[in-house]
Amino acid sequence: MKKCPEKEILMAYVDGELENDERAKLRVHLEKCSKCAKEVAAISEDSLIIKTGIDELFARHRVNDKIMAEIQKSRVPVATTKDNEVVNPWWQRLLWPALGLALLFLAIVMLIPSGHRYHGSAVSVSFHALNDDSTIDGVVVPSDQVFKLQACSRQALCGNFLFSTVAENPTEFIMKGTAMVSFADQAIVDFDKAEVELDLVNGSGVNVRVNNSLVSLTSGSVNYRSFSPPVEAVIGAVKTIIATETIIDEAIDLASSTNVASVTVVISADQPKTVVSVATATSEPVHSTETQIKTATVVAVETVASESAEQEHPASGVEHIFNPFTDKPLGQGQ
Amino acid sequence: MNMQGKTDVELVKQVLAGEIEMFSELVERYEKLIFSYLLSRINDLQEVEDIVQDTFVKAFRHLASYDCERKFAGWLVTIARNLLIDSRKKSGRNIASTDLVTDVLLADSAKENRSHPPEIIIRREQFRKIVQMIQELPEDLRTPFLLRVVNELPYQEISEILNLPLQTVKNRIFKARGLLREKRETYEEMP
Repeated sequence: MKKCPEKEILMAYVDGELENDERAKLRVHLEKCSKCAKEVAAISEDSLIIKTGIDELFARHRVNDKIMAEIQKSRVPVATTKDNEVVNPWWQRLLWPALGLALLFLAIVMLIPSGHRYHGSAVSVSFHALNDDSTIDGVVVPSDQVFKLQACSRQALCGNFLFSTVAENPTEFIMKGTAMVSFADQAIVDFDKAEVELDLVNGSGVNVRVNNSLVSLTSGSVNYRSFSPPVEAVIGAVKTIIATETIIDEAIDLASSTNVASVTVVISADQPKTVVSVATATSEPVHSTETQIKTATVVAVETVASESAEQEHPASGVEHIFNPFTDKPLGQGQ
Repeated sequence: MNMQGKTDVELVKQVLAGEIEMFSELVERYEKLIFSYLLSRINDLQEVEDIVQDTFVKAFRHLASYDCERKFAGWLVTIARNLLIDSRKKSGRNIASTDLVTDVLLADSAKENRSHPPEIIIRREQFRKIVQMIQELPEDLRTPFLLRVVNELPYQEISEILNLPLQTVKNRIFKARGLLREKRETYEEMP
């Protein structure tokens, strides 16, 4: 290494992010070059001062005891299902099966709907295949086997399944198609990457989440055939695969740091119709002057078109995030 | 009980199975991360404390919905970010309008400096000045920078936690460092 390395390399060295051979070469260089050695020492010193200072600050403002006291006070029962390979306390090992059996018995006696079998226990969701070629995680499952939706797991379902959810109002619905299914917030069944038809067959209704949208199944069928995989987006000059959540995050960051009321993230300048997310400031009136607005909340996310989103994108330094006030890319003529 | 060797997912499963005390290990592992994340976004230390607490309490209450395929730290950061957005909406507080971290630092150090040797006082003074400089950095640069420097996380992990592309994380950390060095050099050159 004859020439002095870029500052970025020196910073990566301090952060321990260089490969071994690169690191070794730089060490040799640092022994000979006092300018770079001084730079490395300065970067390290900055980091040490900040780390030591914030560690002290953190030590004075810890809330771990308050957190545990709050949790012990509320003791919200978080367990919803018996998890694989979890060693439960002895009383739970007896209590939950006993409760489950009792509730199953009640459910069978009181809640069985005509024409459909009913499975499950309180605050749980169970499902079973309705035909003999449906699969779970790629494995064909018999139609007489009942499964519970487990917390902390996602299962790939393909085929026709009957879901039974039990809370105050038992509900049954049929899923036809494919989806990654899991148990989400507040016992909501989550269908991700879904191409499904959902059909309520019993009960007054149930909320489910399909491809990140909350849906109320109240009557009839709901079709989700338009699932689009994460799109390839260009934000700034960086080209990468980004899920919708990332784009939203970028939009919030951008709106927070650039004093704009809203930002629209566009996949590509060549494909202006491929708007994937819209973030709008809500803490201040949208019509306020741009400089007064510093926080933003995503209020709408929609895919307008995505057929061509995975095609080629320009990798130039074109800014693809637009200021809605000027209709120009941010950072240009604001 | 040895909890050190357990993965986050193993601890989550034990908490879900009723061993609530296991949650304290998750707090131990990630309290500083959430503290640093919030400190990079708000200046009011009392608000930081409140949101750190609310983040873990909310995480506990919704633990059953945690997707074990996600990084636990990333899930916590998402909760903290949502609470922060809610807090800003409710209070109408402007994130950059106050300088409370510096105020608190000054108050804290004034109280404690009396009993400390001069080198610690000098180091604290340096820290106070650097904090002022960090506050002048754009918010989107501050967060990955502090997660790197304070929590010593690898770039890849920061990328996963903040759900940002790796190159974006690298660029932001480099940019933050560069701006900070410029500010320090300018400061040191001042008579």
